[in-house]
Amino acid sequence: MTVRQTHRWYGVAAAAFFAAAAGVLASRPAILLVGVVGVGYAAYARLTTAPEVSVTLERTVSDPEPAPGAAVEVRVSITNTGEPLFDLRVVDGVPPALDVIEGSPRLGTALRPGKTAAFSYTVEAKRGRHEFGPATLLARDASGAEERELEQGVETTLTCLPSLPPAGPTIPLRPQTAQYTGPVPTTSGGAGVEFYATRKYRPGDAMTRVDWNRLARTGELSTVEFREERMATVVLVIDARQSAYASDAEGTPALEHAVDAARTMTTSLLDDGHQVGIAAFGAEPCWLAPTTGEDQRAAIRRLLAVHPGLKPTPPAAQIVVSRRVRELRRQLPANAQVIVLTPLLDDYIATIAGRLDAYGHAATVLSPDVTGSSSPGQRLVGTERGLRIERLRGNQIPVIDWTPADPLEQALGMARERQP
Amino acid sequence: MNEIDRSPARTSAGIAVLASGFAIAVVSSPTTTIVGGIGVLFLLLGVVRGWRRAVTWGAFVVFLGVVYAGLQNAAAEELLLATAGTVIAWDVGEQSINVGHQLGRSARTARGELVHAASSTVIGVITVGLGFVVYTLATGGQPLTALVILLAAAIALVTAVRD
Repeated sequence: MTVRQTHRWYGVAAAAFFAAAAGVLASRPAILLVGVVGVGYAAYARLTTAPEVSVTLERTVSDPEPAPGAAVEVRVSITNTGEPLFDLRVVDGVPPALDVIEGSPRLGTALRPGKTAAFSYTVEAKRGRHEFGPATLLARDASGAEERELEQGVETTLTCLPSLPPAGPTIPLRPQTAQYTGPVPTTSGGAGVEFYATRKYRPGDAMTRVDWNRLARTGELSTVEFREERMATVVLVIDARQSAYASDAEGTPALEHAVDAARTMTTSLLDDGHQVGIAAFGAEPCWLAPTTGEDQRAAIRRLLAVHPGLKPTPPAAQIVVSRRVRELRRQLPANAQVIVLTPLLDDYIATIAGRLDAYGHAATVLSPDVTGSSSPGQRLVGTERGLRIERLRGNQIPVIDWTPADPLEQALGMARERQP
Repeated sequence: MNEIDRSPARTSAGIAVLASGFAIAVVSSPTTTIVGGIGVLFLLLGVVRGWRRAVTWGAFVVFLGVVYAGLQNAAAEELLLATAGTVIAWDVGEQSINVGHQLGRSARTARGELVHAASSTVIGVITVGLGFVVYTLATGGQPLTALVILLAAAIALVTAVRD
């Protein structure tokens, strides 16, 4: 709590002296009276002091768990439990990520003891858990000469969990080397449905796999192999460092596009029977081990919405990513492939994708393009990003370049065509 | 995130212009009307654009007009009322700027503004009454020096009373 002088009445005493002097010089008592008025106001400013503030604050939201984009009405009521407040100003602690779309989270009023003032405003719900901060109260005395500032907290939380899309497009995965049968074609032959190769019969091969036609024709025993199809283990690695909060022309941060894409891909991959996990390089360590099933679907939905490592507002401090990368390497199952979601605005994240790939975690980069072209600086950033994409592709790492204004399906479709 | 419109609060701005208009209207001197009129225009500009300096200088110019009327032998009650009007105009004008700055145009602020303007007016009425009593006493025979000393004493008292 702080009390400060606003110094707004300083000029009045000066004007009073000025009038008094003019009155004396001109020998006009009437002008002296003008000085009396000034003295009266100076006394008023001097004698009033900022009131002790004792109020109770209540905040209600129309829906504590809204859908994304929904309008949520916030109602704040403030009751004076102490002395009269001639000039009370309230500024509510709106969560930084939320936009006020109607009304104002501020109020200026006078409040008698026991009375209640209320105001309401509307915010637009966005992904995440949003905590309201304490309201700032400014109480001035009647003259406005002194101002007391304090904060009054009341806990309110708005949790917005966007749901995963009901269906998603096929995700172009890298060839997989895992033990479970699933939809990813491999480059090794074995049990499967698609013909892959024939080889010499080895004792122990199943009778059903012997190429009987060939035996009848040539008398040689040979075994048919089919293309093995396996289930993939995919970890979506989301870049949530400060640079991932760079906004596109509409003001949406790249991270929001990445999280949107992660939601769609989760649906697609889980529907296809893959194991899906999530990791993020953000303000806080974020790791969800890959697995399948409905529980994982719900866990990913929740994590993508409210994990503190994926906050909708940029992290305050610089993030040391190298340690996160080491942690991630320890956590990643040996056969897991990674899809790195990043706007690709620096070389470092491209290097990390390359390193993960080199360690045996087949990497794919999905990059929402948030670079603009309206200034030379923006064009430079766009060009640098283009070069990074070319370099990654040159290193055999597929890059899905996605312009968020277009549907993700389109970018994925183009990426599938690129696949060898 | 859309920016907050921090232009001055409308209620106080209106009251400030009215009060300054009242100050020049109450004094029947053409020079005061002209000089004061310029001050009112400055003040109007200040409360529309949120320029604190324009409000202060505008009010000061109106005040100069009032002092000039005093030099031209205007009636004491006219001077008292005009001065109170000027101070109210300045006070409420500045209030309109600081409310606008702290709370913004879209917030509901009228109640707080009206209470502030009302208390400022009440003080104006009290000081005008006080000034008139002093004036009646003084014209009853006491010399001008007595009035000056009375005024200085009042200022000293005011300064001392808080500490």
